[in-house]
Amino acid sequence: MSDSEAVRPQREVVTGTREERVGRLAEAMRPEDMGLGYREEQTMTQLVWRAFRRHKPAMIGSAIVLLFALSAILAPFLSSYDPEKTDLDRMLQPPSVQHIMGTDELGRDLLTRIFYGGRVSLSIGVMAMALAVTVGAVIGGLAGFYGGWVDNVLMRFVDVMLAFPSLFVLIILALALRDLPIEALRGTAFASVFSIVLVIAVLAWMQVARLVRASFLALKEKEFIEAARCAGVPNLRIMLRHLLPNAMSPIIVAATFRVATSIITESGLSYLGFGVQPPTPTWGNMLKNAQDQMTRAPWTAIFPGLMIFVAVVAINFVGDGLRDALDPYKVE
Amino acid sequence: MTRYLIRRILQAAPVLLFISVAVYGLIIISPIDPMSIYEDNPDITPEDMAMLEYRLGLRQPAFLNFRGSSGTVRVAQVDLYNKAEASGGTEPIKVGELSSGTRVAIVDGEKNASGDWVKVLHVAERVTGWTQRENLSARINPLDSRYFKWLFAIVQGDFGRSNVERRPSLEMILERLPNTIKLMSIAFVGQLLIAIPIGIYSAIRQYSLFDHFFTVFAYMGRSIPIFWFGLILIIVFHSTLNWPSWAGEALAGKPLFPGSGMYDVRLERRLGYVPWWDYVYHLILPVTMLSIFGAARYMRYMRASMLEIIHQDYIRTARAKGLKERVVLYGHALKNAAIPLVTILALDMPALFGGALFTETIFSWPGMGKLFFRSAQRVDYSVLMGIVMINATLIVAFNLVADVVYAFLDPRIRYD
Repeated sequence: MSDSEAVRPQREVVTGTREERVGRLAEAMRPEDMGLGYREEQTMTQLVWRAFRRHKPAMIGSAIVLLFALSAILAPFLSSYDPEKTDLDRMLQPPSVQHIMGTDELGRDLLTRIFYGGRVSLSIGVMAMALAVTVGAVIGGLAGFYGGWVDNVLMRFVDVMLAFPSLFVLIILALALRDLPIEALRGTAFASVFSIVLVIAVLAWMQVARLVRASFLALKEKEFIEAARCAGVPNLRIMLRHLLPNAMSPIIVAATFRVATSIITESGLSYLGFGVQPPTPTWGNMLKNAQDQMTRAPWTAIFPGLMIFVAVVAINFVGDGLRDALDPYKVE
Repeated sequence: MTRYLIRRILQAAPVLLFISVAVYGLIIISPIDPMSIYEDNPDITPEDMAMLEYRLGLRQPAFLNFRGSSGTVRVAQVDLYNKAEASGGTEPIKVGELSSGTRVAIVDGEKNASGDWVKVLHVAERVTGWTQRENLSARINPLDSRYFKWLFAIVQGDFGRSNVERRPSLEMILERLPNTIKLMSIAFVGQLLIAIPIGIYSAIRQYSLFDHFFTVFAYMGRSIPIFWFGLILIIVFHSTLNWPSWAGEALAGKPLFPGSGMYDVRLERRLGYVPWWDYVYHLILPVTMLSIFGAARYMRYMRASMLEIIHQDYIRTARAKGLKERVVLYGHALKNAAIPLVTILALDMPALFGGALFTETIFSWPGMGKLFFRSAQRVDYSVLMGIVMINATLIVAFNLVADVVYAFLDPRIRYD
């Protein structure tokens, strides 16, 4: 072909009435043909869920977390042994058919204690997370939304809290709050659980506060907030129903990781003896009890720590999966 | 920059003050009663108890003293009771009386339905009892409280006496400090030696098997409980593994690594001194544990930082100029990638002094962490406050150092 033909477009012959031509044009310009339409409606949740499903470690992690949660809830049904009853005839037996993980220094079945300990450890992790995230979201949200001196004061407070030497202050806090002055709970196992939750949360909310503040600061400038304000929506409602739902993604990810760190913190505190007090089992204080006989009976030390490790890894996997799934900039 | 420094230093003081108030308050409300060991002793009379409490300053107000520490009896004659109640319930017993003009120490106070009571102690005659506050005239100095006594002492460098060991707290802390520094500094160097090369290589060969393996490794290191890992190390290398039979008579059958302590006491007794290799031998396990942990963290930072730098344009330019890859990496990329790492290092420095509590507890290493742990168990106020304040000061100071170093290394940052 000659150059001129390649450069000049061919003239097309168009037939039909005006209506027919418009009709054919409309037919040809359907969004799906141009690659613009959706094949199906997808909500954000569906999109996130599909991205999450694709993240293999996250799926493995979720399965493990589910397994742990179920065994914690169903603990009484899973084992017929009593986690707190001592039986000195059966001290320190290695793993066997009757005691799959062996027995501890007071003759209690280790597997049962792992189940019940899991209850306590996991619920402390979740409760501490809930408290820390709530406090952090409130403080961060107020700071981000109001800005100005409120922001300054609150962020200075966060900085001061971050300057505390955390492990030391955790221990001192745990000591101080050991006997909580709440009459109804005094003496029950729940009292020491509650004080540990408080202790962990007090030193864990700062990261969430910073996240929420950053989100609110960014979202505050968007037009839909301006529109809401023009419509006369009161501040609190703006914060709760407009800003917060849009800031949820980083909060959810941070919350997931918080559960993992809370579990480690609680087990650390219990291991040192400042956490949940015996005989209530938690994975941490089972390690503490095991320390004296770990040379003779290593299974008492291996299994509780292994459970902590697996739980934390699983939760971290889930957190990573969530983070990738919720990331709007992620390249497919 | 100088103004910025001055501003930061001035801001540090209220932060430290707040921390000291918070921690002191927490320690005070801890439910340990130092007097409880004396309560069941029949040889100690209530007057002796009152004297002890007075001498130890136990019932002094914690933060602000609005009831005074000493006073003079104002009224002609004052009756002392054994309890701060005048009526209702059991009848209070009169335990003594004081005449006008007597100087007494005020050791306790209570406000209840029947009035404002204070417990006074006549030091010379060891008479103690409760009376109404209005019967005394007392000079009130609000700063005459336990916290302020502590504060005024510590800004002068006086860390007080341990109430458990009756020794100066500073002495106790300084005894342990070198041990902690020895352990932590070697671990520090170790973790960097591991983390930096691995981080760099992971970044250069991104997504390779090496990278994947060490990413997983770093992940595990982040999730594993450090104290469990230590226990496992002890179980494996101390209880399970022993010296093989061909290692000679002195060693065969003995545990492969020591499980606790800084040196072998029996060896020292036999030789009269501690040989250097005994220290090293005892350092191996704790340093390994700390290094692996620290390395897991730093590996990630190094890799992330390096990745960010490698993809920059100026690296591409350097390569295009024909520079050797080694020069490009170490001269250009690493120098820039190291800046955030240095910041994190500076922020981690306080741990060098604070010590790894868990490591020292597991391996019975006589350092600051273990001291803190024991003091917390016994609620040894002075030592606890001393360690916490030293650490808090270090954290604040190294935060400042990190910012300054960052500004120094990165000329794009300007403070004013």
